[in-house]
Amino acid sequence: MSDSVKNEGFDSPLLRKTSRELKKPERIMGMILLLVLIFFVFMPLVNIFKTAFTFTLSDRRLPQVVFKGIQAVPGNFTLVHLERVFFSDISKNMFYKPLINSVVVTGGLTILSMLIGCTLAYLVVRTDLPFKKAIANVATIPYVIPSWPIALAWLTLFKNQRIGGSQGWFEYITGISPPNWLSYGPVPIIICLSLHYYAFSFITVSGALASIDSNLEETGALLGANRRQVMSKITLPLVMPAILSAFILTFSKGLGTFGTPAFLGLPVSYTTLATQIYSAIRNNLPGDAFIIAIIMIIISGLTIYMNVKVIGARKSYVTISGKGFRSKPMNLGKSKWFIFALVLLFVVTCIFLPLYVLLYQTFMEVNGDYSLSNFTLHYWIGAANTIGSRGNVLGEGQAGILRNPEIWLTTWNSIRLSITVSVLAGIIGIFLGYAIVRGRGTKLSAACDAFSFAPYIIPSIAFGAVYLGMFSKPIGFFPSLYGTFTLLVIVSLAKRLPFSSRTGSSAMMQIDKSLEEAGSLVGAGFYTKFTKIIYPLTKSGFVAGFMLSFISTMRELSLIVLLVTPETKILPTMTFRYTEGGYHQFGDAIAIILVTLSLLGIYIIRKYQGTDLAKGIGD
Amino acid sequence: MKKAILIALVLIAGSSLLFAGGSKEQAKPKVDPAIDVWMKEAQIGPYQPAEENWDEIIKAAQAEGEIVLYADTSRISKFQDAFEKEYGVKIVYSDLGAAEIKDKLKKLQDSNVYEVDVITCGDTPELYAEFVDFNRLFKYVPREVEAVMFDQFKDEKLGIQRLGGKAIAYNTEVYPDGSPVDSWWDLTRPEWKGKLIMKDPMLGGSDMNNMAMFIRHADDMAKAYKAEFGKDIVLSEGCPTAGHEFIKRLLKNDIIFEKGGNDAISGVGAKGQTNPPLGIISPSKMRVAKEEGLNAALAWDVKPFSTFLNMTAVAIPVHAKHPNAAKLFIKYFYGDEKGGLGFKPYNTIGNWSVRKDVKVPEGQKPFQEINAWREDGDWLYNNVIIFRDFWMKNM
Repeated sequence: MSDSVKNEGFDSPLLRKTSRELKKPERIMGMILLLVLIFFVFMPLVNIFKTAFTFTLSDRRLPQVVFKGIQAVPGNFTLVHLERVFFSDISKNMFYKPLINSVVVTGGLTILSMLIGCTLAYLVVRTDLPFKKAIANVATIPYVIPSWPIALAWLTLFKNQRIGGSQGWFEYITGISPPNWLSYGPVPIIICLSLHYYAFSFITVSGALASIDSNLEETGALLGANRRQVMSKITLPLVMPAILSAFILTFSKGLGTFGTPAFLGLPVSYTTLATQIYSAIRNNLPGDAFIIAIIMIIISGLTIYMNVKVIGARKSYVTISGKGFRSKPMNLGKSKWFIFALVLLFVVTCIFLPLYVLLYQTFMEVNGDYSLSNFTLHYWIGAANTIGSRGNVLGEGQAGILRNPEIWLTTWNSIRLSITVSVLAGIIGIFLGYAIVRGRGTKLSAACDAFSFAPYIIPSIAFGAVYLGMFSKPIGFFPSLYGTFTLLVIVSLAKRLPFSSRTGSSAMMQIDKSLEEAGSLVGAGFYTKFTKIIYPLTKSGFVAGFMLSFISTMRELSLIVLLVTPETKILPTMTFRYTEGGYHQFGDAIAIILVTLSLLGIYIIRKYQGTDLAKGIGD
Repeated sequence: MKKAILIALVLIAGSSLLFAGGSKEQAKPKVDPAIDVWMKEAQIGPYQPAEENWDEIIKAAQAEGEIVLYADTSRISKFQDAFEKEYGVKIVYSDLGAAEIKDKLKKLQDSNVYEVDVITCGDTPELYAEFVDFNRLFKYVPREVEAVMFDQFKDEKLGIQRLGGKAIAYNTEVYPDGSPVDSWWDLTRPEWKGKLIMKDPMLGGSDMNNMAMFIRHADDMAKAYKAEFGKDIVLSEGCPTAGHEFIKRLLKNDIIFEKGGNDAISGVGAKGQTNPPLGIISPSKMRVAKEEGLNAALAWDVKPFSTFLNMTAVAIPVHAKHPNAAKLFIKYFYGDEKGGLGFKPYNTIGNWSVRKDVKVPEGQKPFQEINAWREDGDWLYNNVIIFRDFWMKNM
């Protein structure tokens, strides 16, 4: 941008340089992407800023307006929301306390989930751990299943008498009532969310580890480095970009997450910023909500910035060169089976147990009774108006979900949305990665990087609401998109941009530019270079991004809840309404379908791509 | 860097202009001629005839073919087939929360998308003040339903289809002789510290409205205090009324908040407890309690009132494309004198019909015999946010 501005005279070398600059594929691509980002990311962001600083109709009843006799004209500029969040008598409980809680919870869960994810990724990709392929396949499950079964399982184990109800197992067995800090609040929130979000670091880091040539590590060992030195001087720096991506994804996701913190935190009045945003939106105070959202965006931004500075991860290393490649697993030696036992314990308690709880609930005639006499298939295949063993009508007369004609339409919608979004997101990710990495150091690259990340931090419900406002009327030659499937695709794509750009750029960082130049030497155009050189080499990164998008689109709810119509609704909207209405079994059954679809998707991707984890794992 | 910030600011300012004027939330508009034309055509509002010809409406509804409905209840599906079979009019419905219904309807109307024919949801205060007052929603009650409706609901700004509640629940195993509390003030006593469970009102829905009603009825709370403790209440700093004082003491007494209402009922009623909490619970949860074999009952004799009463409204959005089908649906939704048709799924414990001729479900008193506080739409709209701030301050 700045090059062309400076070019006032007829300085022909500069002109030539400018035009040469502009012809670089990463520049052109960067320009196009930036335009798209401005339309789909920057404008919603502006809308959020605007809402934070204008009066809405609802603001005429704010105490700051009523008691001071201010005219709150909708659409007019105001600082009242800023005042409420930072400088009023409710700021402490509305903002400062939740802020501290959010930082504690998010920091804790990021560290813990990175530890779990990276360790697991290393064990699965780089060592001779037994059954590692099977472990790799199930390790993504916790991210696919809804987070509440883990939270519910925690309460079943560790609840005390505070919230009433039946005794927790811990108390039942030991006779000791667990203290509040173990039952509710930050500790369980951090643990439960880590067990859910470690999948981010597991997927991205294992993708990066899989593309490291183990010759590099062996060379280090030959030169006299011990195992720890090899790890810290060779392996770690090589996967740093992936670790950083995972850190950023986990941190921002953790900061915005609402369900589990509300479930486990509210009983002891432990609130987070996400709870406050939810509350403000639900109480028709979008201004308050968006001020807090902006703070969250800033926090995430600062965290990312500090990380980049401290870790210096942008100093990346090329791991994919044109030379031969091989990956040799590390020998775990004697501790092999011990480590395997630990991993197995983890898999059983943290993956299979929650899944089992979820599945089991769908077979329970009434909630909370775990005896066999309570078993029923009604919620899956029962006819309408079935009378249960207690003489009451099951599910209030509703038939099992497999008999519900809606289920097929919604399932189909879910499948096509997830596939469309993840394919497009994967492609955009590679392009973005290319523009960001190859154009590194330019403002264009920085702008693409920053904008593509922003949607991640904007609360989903707000993002969806902004899209509904923006796209339900025609903008220029852009027709109204309300009610169309296209709108769902666009909003999901925009929200998934961070996944795509992170995975795309960390994959791209590993490719040596010389490979591309070699392509140019033999006369390959950009398209050929892209399809013959870049894509094949970055496939594992592409697949990682694809999987993350696929899974998270599959279970996305708050983003699209305002945008769906009866014709375009997807499975999570059904789960939500069933659960809200108190029909847990139906909701859980649909969640099981979601999990199955996600796993099926992952399986197919792995099978046909034959890349990613499998490459590092070997057979 | 400075330059970048400057550019960013200019961009933000520039784009804000793009969005300016998008909002239609100006001062209350007079009825726009286009709306008048629509109302006349649809025979809604002032044009609703004193006697409606249902044969004509049904015929017109069949010609329209469908209704698009936003509802905060999933029980529509229970009578959808019967309705469609009987009239040949399709119900296309979205099952959304009340907050989503309001947000979505407003945004669509602002974009001149008029796809919705009927909405039904709770939270009347906002529906009245931000929708009815701005000609976004119109009241429609079939004349023959109006004729059998309890008088106190005839003047509501929208048609009220049913009532729900929120009352104190207790564990019957530990308290077999009935409720251990007979006044709301009991809940502020030390013996109930950390022993009251409820859905967190901060999460929205009708709960914050309900809590705000303590301010609306502050005088009753003052009297109840005297009856309970035998002396006049002394107000502490920051509490202008006995209602404020009650809320402050209640929050000090360490309430246990839950994310949803179902957790509260099982907390109260699970078997085998020795020290169960009380709960503030919707009477409709008693159905869940019965099904799951919980030992819970509601306290029906509490001073100064036993239950909040919340209203569920049904209305026709402006410029609805299928007004006759909408009318037909609404008539069906109110049900018949037996509490059947579209009201049947709601004719259960925890709900009350507004029709005088519908018998109350077995095991439930008629609402007029219960000492209840009904939600007061206009007052609540103007005061609930101030109240929410008060609540947050004392949290």
